[in-house]
Amino acid sequence: MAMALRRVLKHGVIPRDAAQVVGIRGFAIASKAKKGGKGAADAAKTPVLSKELKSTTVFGANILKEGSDPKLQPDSEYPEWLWHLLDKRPMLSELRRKDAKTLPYEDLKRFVKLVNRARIKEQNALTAKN
Amino acid sequence: MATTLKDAVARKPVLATIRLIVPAGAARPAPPVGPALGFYRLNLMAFCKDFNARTQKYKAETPMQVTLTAYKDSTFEFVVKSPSVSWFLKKAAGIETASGRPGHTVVSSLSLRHVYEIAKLKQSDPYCKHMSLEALCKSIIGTANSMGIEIVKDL
Repeated sequence: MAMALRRVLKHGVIPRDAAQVVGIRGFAIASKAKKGGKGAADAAKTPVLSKELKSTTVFGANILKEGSDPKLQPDSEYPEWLWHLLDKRPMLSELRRKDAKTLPYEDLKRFVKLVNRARIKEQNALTAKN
Repeated sequence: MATTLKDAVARKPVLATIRLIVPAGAARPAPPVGPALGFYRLNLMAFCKDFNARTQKYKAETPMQVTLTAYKDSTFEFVVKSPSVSWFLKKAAGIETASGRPGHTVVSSLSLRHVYEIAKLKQSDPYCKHMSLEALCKSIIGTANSMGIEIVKDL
């Protein structure tokens, strides 16, 4: 240990064992952020409108000179189908498990579409040049 | 409606279809309008005057979509459409630019009610009149997803 310290004082080089004891870490020098780099892009993307304002008005919806932006109505004013647009749709494997005769029209249409898509993919895989 | 032979003969031969985005009431014979129309030898000033007259009622600097049909006899017709869905979504979300990594980074969030209101606006477009509101809403949700805007049931 004493030898290692003497070497440090003499040459200014810290050996690995001494560095472990003393607990010195060589950090990489942080590169200076470029002007108008990623940070500036992220800053530009932060929403300007508050959540309270957004939940009452559709900003920018009125493009005419007269009039104002439309206000959001209560849920009862909107059609029923609107609330089902974000619902998860069944996958092909799920639809295959069910009986085709009992499926509703929308799911049946989806089933036909997905089956056709799977068949096309299969054909493409077979005819593809490796 | 069946097209008669008389109509087909009378129809002018189309030279090109040009699509532009021009700010409302601010069409000038400068880029991007100038080079696009000048290439087909169209009357720039006539277009600018007509476009500005048609878009007087809109707020200044609203980016209107123009589909211009140029004919071989140097005449033209154009249809003015409302701004793009992405512009409406950016305005409603209060953001300047969309996400650079959609699907990874969520820039903002909007509710389904916002989507419905935007769909109602877009339905007044000549090219969207035949589309149902449901189809338009689905299309707008897809656009929002590709921009990194999250659509939720309620904010």
